[in-house]
Formats: sequence, C-alpha cells, structure tokens
Amino acid sequence: MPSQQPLLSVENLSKSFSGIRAVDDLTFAVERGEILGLIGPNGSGKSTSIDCITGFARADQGSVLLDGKRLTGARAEQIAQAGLSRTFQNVRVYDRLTLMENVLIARQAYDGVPWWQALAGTQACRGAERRASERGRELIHLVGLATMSAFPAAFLSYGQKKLLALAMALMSNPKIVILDEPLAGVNPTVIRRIGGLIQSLNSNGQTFIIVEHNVQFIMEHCSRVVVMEQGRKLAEGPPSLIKEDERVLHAYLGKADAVAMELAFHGQ
Amino acid sequence: MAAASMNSPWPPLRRLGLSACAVILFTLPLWSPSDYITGIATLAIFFAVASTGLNVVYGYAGLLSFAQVGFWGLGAYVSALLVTDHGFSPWTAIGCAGAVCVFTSLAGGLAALRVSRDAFVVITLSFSLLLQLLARSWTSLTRGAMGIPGLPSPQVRLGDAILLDGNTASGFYWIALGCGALVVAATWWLLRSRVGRAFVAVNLDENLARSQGISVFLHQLSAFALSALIGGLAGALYVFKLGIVDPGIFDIYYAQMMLIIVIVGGAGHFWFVLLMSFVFTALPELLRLAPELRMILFGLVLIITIQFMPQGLGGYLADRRNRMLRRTE
Repeated sequence: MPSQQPLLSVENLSKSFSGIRAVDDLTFAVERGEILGLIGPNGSGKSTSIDCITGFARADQGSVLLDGKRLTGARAEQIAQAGLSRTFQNVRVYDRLTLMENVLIARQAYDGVPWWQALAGTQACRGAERRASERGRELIHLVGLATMSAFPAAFLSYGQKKLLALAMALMSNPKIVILDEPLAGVNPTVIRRIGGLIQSLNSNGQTFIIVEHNVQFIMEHCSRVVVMEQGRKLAEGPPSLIKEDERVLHAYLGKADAVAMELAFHGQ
Repeated sequence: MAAASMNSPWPPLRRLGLSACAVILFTLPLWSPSDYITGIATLAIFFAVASTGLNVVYGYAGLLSFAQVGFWGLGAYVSALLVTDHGFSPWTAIGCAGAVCVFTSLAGGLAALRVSRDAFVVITLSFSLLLQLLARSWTSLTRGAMGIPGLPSPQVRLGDAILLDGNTASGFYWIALGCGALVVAATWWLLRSRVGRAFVAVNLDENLARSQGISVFLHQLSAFALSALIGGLAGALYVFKLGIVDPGIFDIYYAQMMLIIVIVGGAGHFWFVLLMSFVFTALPELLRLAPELRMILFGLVLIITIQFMPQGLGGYLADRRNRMLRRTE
C-alpha cells in the first residue's frame, strides 16, 4: 500500500536573523513524484527555508518530516542520509578532484560500508565501490560529461559544474532532490539540458524541489508552485493558477497587468 | 588553504622513482661511506614519518596543527618512562606511546574541533607549548631539564638470534626503515581508501561534504587522531636513537622542520612530502651549514616556495600536468 502522507512536510517553519524574520510560519508539503517550484523575489526567504529544511541553518520553530520521520534539529549530514539531497545556489564541486572522484564521494556515505571495512578493503567495500563507479559513470553520461570524467572538475565551465552538481545530488538515490537556483549563471543550452534531465528523472519517479528565479522555467516544469514573499507563503497551487494570481504579480513587479504577467511568466 | 589532490602527477615517473628510492633506501647502509651518513638517513626517516602525520591532518584534512611536535614529544616521553620506570620492552612501550597519543588527541580534538579552524591552530600550538612546560616543570615524573638518560636500543630478534641490533648505526637504520615503511604504507593505504577521500572532501568544501552525508567533525577528529598516532610512534622510536629524552624533544626545530617539509613538498601530496623529508634533512648536513645558516636557508626556501609554488612542489607539478591535459583536451 503506498503511503498517503506527503513525502515531505514542512510545518510552521520560522527563522529570524537579528530580529528580522527571514522565514515566517512557512508550511507546505511535497508529494511523491512531483516537482515543486519555490519562487519569490530576492530576500523572500527561499534559500533560508531550504537551509533550515536541509539542516544548514537551525530553525527557531516549526518541524520538518521526511517520509514520516522527524528531521527537525538533525544535522545536515543526518538529513542527507535520511534521503534529502541538495545542490547550492553558488555551485559547489570539488575542483581539484576528477569528475568520477566527485561523484564517488557523493555516494560513499550511503552504502552502509563501515569505516573499518573501508580500511580493510573488504569484498563488501569493493562491491560498493564497483556499484558506485557504475552509477557514477551512468550519471556523468546522463548529464553529458562522459568525455570529461577523468579530468579535474576545475576544467568545467560554470554550467557544466551545475550539471556535475546535479549528478552528485543524484548519486545517493535520494527521496527528494532540492535544486537551489540551478539555472543561475547558466546559458540557454544548459538550461534546456537541465530542464530535460529534470523531466526525464521525474518521469522515473524522482521528486524535486526547485528554487529558482526563472519563473518561466518553473511554470514549464513544475506541477505545483509555492510563492514566498518577505518570509511568508504568499500563494500555492498549480502553475496555471499562480500565473493568474495578482498578489504574485505585485510581489514580482509591483503591478498586476497583462504586460507584467507576460514579462514575469514568459520572459518577453 | 592547503592543497589536496587525489590525482598523482606523473604516474609512470612516480612508479620508476619509487622503485629506485626503495632500492637506494634498503641498501643504503651497505654502500654508505660512514655511520654519520647512515645516521642522517635515519633522521630523515623519522622526519618522513612525522611529516606524513602532519600531512594527513593538514594536507588532507585541511587542519593546520602545531600539535604534531607535541605528540612526537609525548610519544617520546611515554615510551622512555615505560621502559625506564616500568620495565617495558621498547616495542611494547612504543605501542603504548601510540595509544596514549591517540587517546590524548581524541580527548583534545573533541573540544578543539568544535571551534573555528583558526582557533584550532592556536589550541594545538598551546598544547605543544604546555607539554614542553610540563616536561620541564614536572620534575618528579620527567626529571625536568636533566631528562631521562640511558635508554636501551631496540632489537629485532628471532628466538635467541638478534636479527637487527639498534646499537649499531646500520641496525637502527634498518629498524627505523622497516617501522617507517610500515607506517607510511598503512597511511598511504588509508588515504587511498574512501576514508582518505572523505578527508579530502572535508578539506575542500565542508558544506558540500555535509550535504553528502559526510560527518565533518568525525573525519577531522579521525585525521587528527591518525596524525597523533603517527607522530607519537615516530617520537617513541626516535627517543631510542637519542638514548635520552629531555624537554628539547618539543623544540621548535622539529615543528618547523615538519611544517617546511609539508609546505615545500606540497600539502596533500603524499610522495613529495616524503621526498622533501630527505632533502631537508640531508641538504644542510651535506652543505655543512651552521645551525643559524640552516634557518636562513630554510627561510629563503620557504619564501621562494610560497612566492612561486604556493601549493608546494607537488601542487606545482600537478598544476602543470593539468595545464598540459587542458591543452590536449
């Protein structure tokens, strides 16, 4: 029987910095197999929310449940091991290491090989390394970087690093992948590739949360959208409804008319 | 921040170089012109091992630690005291010294690794200075500046037959070489494993490592304990070469030698650090430099390295290799 509860529940999440409420009573849920878009103007609290959910910031109040398991107060590495994988707004990869080493590192905390087995090089460890290498090769190939896999990540362009970061986030077969501004600083070709990858992975059941400024991309690829403004949830619903929500247009452009709508949601 | 790379520059040359070095090192006492040269090579082995320990914590895990000389001295004192006051054999004493250093590093690391990396540097420096102070002042245990003399030389026996006698320069050399090779090989094995890979990940980007389920604290603590074990074992055996241990074992000379070797060799570059251990031990002796001139020479080399090869020799060669790869890409 498939579980009826949402895969991720965020309830009444709040976070303040020096008295300023960066996240204010945020509540939303993510269902299995969906792509949820999280949008909002600069400073609306999107990244802080993601940091609180993934353990990189400690929420003042509220709770986070992943598949019914309470994650509130857990450390970032524990949350990652529970199945919540993320990328970062400013792309992070291990520049000095090869692409293959990058993806192998991204997997090693998840295959249940204890450290003493890793040191002893037991058969279990060798098997886990072999499986990780196969998965790594698959994902590097999937993101279109197969010819570069033996080179250091420093060789990659910014957009290619975003693709590598996506491959790394997928290495652990996570329950949810959170992509924090995956399109920032990326050219249109790579944007199309990232969009295609997300759709293709989602069709195989992978759940995503995408935090993005590119509203057009969110409207195209997400099944549901949460809009934030000044730390609060402003609106939530399918893209077709969000497009017509005047509060959202006000938040983005300060006005709600046909031209503004065209600008915000179609980028032209 | 220290460089760290799992890519070895020039792999074919490295294999050839390693084989040649192994042959030279193993046969050195056979063709060495004097016990003096053998003694310098023995000292170089000790610096190679101790610097490898520093390389683990600084080069791989990214934590600049001045505690290495502290563990080196602690290992020396523990083994000397166990042999003289409690009748332990040198080998048992060396093992116990390693265990004491690991325990101390775990206890200290639990607190010291909860602060920033900068504060960690200061804490490790204070730790070494405190141990030196204790060695000077706790005279009822350490005999203060008088030190603990009359330490026996270790021997390797097979039944009643003595295979290697530490009383001779060549015997001690082979003992040091055997022990050093074991420690260095075990460290290399560990650094090539996924544990070593996690050390590098934690060094290069803590937040990325955390987002991948890797515990930064546990890996930093493990690297610190491993460096303490290596430093402690090296110090514990070294003291039997000296025959006496006194507070001079904590001297800044040892700390700066280890640091210079790691910085010039290239933090995170395993083999180049080993190579530099021999260069920096042998060079001043062969040039017959006065101790004051040695420091000037080391200072100059350090300045030139930081100016022209900030990642050390290993990092410089790795960068060159990468540039060549990029051109052929």
